[in-house]
Amino acid sequence: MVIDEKVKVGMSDSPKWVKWKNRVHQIDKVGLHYTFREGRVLYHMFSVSTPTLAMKLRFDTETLGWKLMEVEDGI
Amino acid sequence: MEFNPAPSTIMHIDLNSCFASVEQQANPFLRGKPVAVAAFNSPGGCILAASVEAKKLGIKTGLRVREGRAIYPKLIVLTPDPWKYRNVHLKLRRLISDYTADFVPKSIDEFVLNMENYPALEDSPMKVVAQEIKKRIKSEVGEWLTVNIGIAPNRYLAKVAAGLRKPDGLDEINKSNFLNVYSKLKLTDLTGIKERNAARLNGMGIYSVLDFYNAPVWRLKAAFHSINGLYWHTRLSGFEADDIEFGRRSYGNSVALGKNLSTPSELSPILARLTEKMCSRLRGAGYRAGGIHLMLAYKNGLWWHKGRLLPRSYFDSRDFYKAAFRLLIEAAPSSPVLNIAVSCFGLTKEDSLQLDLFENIGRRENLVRAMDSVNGRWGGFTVASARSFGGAKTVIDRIAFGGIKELEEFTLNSG
Repeated sequence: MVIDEKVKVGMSDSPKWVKWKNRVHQIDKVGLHYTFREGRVLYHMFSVSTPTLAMKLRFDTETLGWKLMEVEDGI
Repeated sequence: MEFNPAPSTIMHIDLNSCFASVEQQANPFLRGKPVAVAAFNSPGGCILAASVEAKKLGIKTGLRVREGRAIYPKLIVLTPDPWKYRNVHLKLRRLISDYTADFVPKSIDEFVLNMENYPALEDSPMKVVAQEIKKRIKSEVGEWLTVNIGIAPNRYLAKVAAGLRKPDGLDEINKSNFLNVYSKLKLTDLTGIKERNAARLNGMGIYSVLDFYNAPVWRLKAAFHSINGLYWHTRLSGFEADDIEFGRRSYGNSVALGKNLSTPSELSPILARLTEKMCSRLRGAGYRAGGIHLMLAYKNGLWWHKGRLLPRSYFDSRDFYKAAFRLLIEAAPSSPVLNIAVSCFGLTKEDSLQLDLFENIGRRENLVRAMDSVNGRWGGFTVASARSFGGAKTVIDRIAFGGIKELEEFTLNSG
């Protein structure tokens, strides 16, 4: 499901938690980290999972902001 | 010809179920389940990759989503996320470059390594190096990713070896086991031998891979009506016949249409979008082109194509669009189009600019360069012809099937 909303993310080496709609979701696992450019802007993408959700997070290296791009439940 | 007695120094690495495995790597909830990555998540969408679990049920690349769901109604269908696959390709590429500088990516999920004279091989035998590569892929790229590795004295047999046991296989074909391997394969198990070539070989009394290996060159030349007979003899004897890399001769873009479109007015925004994409890549690599080609594949199975030389080498998308649109009018499509592909050929380096008597080419070049620069800064299609914006929803980012030419571009851009 496409979300495309700003979120807060706790980061050390990799994302540890994401705060979305006033709820903090602990991240269990980073399945894949990848990057791409749109024009000159470099984006870092993290496919992460919580105990119940799979999420796609995007970090914009120009604004230093995080967005939650997609969410899937445990399918 | 005796089988090549040289030690195996060629390794073929093939990522299993590439797109589907990468999606399972990204999302652990998909692991162990039948997953398909399809061009469109609609009943007619073509399946581009099936996970190992889906393959076990008989769901293969090339089936339609409706056929996949008929086999397994709970099949999870995803649309491609090209940057995931490109990044995994780059990670594999970096890992492989620790072992040899002499390697070639054959596609987004296949690499051929020549380990001859590289230190990695001096310390340990090929199979040990291959096992180490497999382990490192799991620990450094993704624990869900598996590869098939084939080892042989030449590229062709390394590919055959990589296909012997899937997934996660590791096999070698060499002078001591080739007869045993050949005796277990059918002619059509060999890459490059499908029904038509098999029929040609049958016509010359060749019915098995062992017959194929033992056949004299004259008989193979007669079967293929060409020098290919000699190349096949060389390949099956373990000597190299496939170490030629072909340079780029064209740039092209294509798209599969989800909707029924057939009139030039419906197809022209898509053609404009494809042409803009193609020209941006052409100019980005420093080329101009002197020819244009258009191909239309119809839903009824028929197809049409035509190429045309242009009066001189062009660089501006508008010139290519005009020429491609003329071809579209000539094609006069009357039934729904399934695929549309445009390409340009006759490449020349851009420093060979031919001035025009009636037009200021310099001004035009400055305009195009300025547009490229804006698009380079803010992303593709920030500035483009108004016509091309109509095709935005149809022409989306995709990975060319089996192609490796685009890999040069994103590898260079990601440096």
